[in-house]
Amino acid sequence: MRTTDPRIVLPTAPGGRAKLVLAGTLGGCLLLMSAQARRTAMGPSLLESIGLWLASPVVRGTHAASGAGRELAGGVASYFAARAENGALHGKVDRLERELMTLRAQAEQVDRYRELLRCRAELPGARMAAPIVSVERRGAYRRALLDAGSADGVRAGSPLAVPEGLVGRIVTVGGRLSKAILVTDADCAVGAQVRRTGEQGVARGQGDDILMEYLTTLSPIQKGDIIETAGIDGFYPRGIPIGRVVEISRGKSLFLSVRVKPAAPLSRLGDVLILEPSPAQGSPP
Amino acid sequence: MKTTRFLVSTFLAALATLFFESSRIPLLPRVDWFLIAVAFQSTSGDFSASTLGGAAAGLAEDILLHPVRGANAFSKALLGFLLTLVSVRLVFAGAIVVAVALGVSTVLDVVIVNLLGKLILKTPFFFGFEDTAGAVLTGAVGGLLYLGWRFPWKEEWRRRQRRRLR
Repeated sequence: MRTTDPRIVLPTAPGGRAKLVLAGTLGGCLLLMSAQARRTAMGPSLLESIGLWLASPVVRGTHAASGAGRELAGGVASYFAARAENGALHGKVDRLERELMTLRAQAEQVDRYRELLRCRAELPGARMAAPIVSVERRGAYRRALLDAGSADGVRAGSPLAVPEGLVGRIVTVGGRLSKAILVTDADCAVGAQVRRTGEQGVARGQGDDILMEYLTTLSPIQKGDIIETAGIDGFYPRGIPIGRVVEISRGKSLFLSVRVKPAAPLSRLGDVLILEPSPAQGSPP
Repeated sequence: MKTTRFLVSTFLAALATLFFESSRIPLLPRVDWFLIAVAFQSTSGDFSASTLGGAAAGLAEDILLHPVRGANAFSKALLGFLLTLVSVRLVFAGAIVVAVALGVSTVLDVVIVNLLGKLILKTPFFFGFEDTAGAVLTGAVGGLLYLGWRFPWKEEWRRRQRRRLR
């Protein structure tokens, strides 16, 4: 390459000395090679031995450095591979967790259905089970939506029950959804009787509990007595537990005021059994 | 200065050769780093230094890698002389010129070493795809190194600093 510094003058052609050096160097190389050719069977030359001895630390060092570089590159590649794998595994875990949650929910539902079906024999005319999708609690009104409708064979007036007791009654049926009135709704009245004595009255919803009406002051009803459906109202079959007496007081007239705690866990309803409507169904009381 | 240039370039060439031979990076072991070192030495314009430097670099290559001791020394010494001749007689500047010169030099180097092997050890002459690839790669790497060497890093850095201050 030409230098840009004008003070330095370089020869543009090789001088005699340069040619001599070239000739000497090439001659030396040729001598070296020819000597090697003659001594091929005599093992390594002294120059070769010295050269290898001098080069060995460099060779080892570069080999180690190269190995370290390879390992580093491998480590980096492994890191990225592991990162991608980690992302994929995270996705898989998320998917499996979702599946697990769904399966758990389904298993719980199956358990609930099994429990409901277990008491099917005790509940007269149980047709099918359906999940409660929402419960509306406003004032003394307690209404619920069921995830079953006319397409599933649900009919208006069908009583709803759980193993513990009566839940309510279907009042409106849609294609896929039905609206139900719970036994504690202020508009709900059920023909009831005291299981122990057989005395009959009307159980009317009060919001959170039920009031048993039309029991005379001469009634031998006691706290803890079980109140059940009497089967006299045209809606509910006989013998489904409504609740248990928690308080008895004298009313304004000749009748007792009996407060009943619902037997069914109405605050945590999951699935309910839909019973056959009573054959004597008429207009609601 | 020439001695330092020779020592540093030959040592770096040896390091690069050994490193890339040990690594499993494809094609890079085919680059003739010693020839690049010789080309760098030839830019000094000193024929004797380039010839001796080339011989020494080739000898190092021979000792490290080649079966014919002295073949690379012979070839590199001759190429050092020729490259110096090119650098002082012609314009040995620009990445493309450097790349082409190095590519041709690599081919010459292979041919010379092959011929010497054939003459001395009766080994068959062979010039294959790897030798062609080596010539191309040596030229390309030499051109890139030349670009990096000649790039005005300082001016560029100052220009960037000035732009940042604005």
